[in-house]
Amino acid sequence: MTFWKLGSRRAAAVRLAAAGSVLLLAPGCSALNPGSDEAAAMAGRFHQLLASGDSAAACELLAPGTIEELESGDPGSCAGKLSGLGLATASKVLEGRAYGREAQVKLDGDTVFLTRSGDRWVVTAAGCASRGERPYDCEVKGH
Amino acid sequence: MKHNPLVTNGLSIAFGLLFLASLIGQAFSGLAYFNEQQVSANLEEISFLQYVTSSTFAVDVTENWQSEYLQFLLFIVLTVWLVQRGSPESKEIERRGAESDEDQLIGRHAKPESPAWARAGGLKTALYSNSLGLVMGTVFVLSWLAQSVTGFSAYAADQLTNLQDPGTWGEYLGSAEFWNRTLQNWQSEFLAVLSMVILSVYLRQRGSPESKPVGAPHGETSVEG
Repeated sequence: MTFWKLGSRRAAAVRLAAAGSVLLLAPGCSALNPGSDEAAAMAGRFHQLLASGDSAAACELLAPGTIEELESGDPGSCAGKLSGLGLATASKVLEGRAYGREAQVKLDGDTVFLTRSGDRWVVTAAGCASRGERPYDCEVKGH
Repeated sequence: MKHNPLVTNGLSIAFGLLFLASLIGQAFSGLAYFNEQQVSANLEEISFLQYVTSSTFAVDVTENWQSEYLQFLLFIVLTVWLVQRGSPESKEIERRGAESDEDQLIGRHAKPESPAWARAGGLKTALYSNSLGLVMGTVFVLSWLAQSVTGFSAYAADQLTNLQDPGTWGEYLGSAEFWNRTLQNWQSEFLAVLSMVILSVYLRQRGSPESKPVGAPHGETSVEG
């Protein structure tokens, strides 16, 4: 955001800029990170656990903020409240997309949002229905 | 007289160091800001390496780079034909245009110490005659492309955080976010050039080659102190 005029050192500046641009393109490309398969697997596992009735294990796949939100309000554990919601079953992953540290996985009966926490994906929202341009309406979500 | 290379390359070295210090400072402050948001969302903090290879960092860098190189490109190319009376950034009014081969020391007018491609003629000389603009233009296009790719990735991540669909790169190119990031940088670059071109007509910086000599008349063009 600053100006500079072309002085006699222009050739060196050009070489430096060209080299830097190549360096910058590399992380730019890796930023479209290929974590969508892992995210899709995690979303599938989440629904698998719910379908098998193991809500406690499913809760372990939720992001901390999502658990906090789920447990707020009426007394009750994450597992109890999660099973009480009766989320629609979903068994087949249709599409997974990951950008930066966030991901969205579309399944046959649900859309799940995830975020990267440490070295794994955790679910930030599930039981989500599209509302067009507006944010998805989710039965489980963080704050 | 032989000078110390640190003296004869002082300008490049100083700006190289300023660039690196600023980039490192941007990386650390950006990481701190990113991790503040992670903590407030109850998520694990990320490492320095993870941050500097993220789209968030890359888009912040590339959006500034592209605008700087666009500024250079336009300044280099437009000053071939456009002039500003009284400005040391402009050439003399009568010299508008690409100028003669003799003025430019091209072909048979080249001096013994002229670059080989200035003497070669044909495509080589044509390319070399425009090499500065071509390289600046190429870096601009690559930086802007990098901004669009990394910007889309960062935008898509924000969309997902807000529980919205991420969209596509094509949609992002037509989005308000992309053009806002782009134009907010362009306007500042163009204002800076305008300021330098006009202010240098009337104001002086003693000893600076970017300024006219302190005593030079306001109307004198293409004179550097």
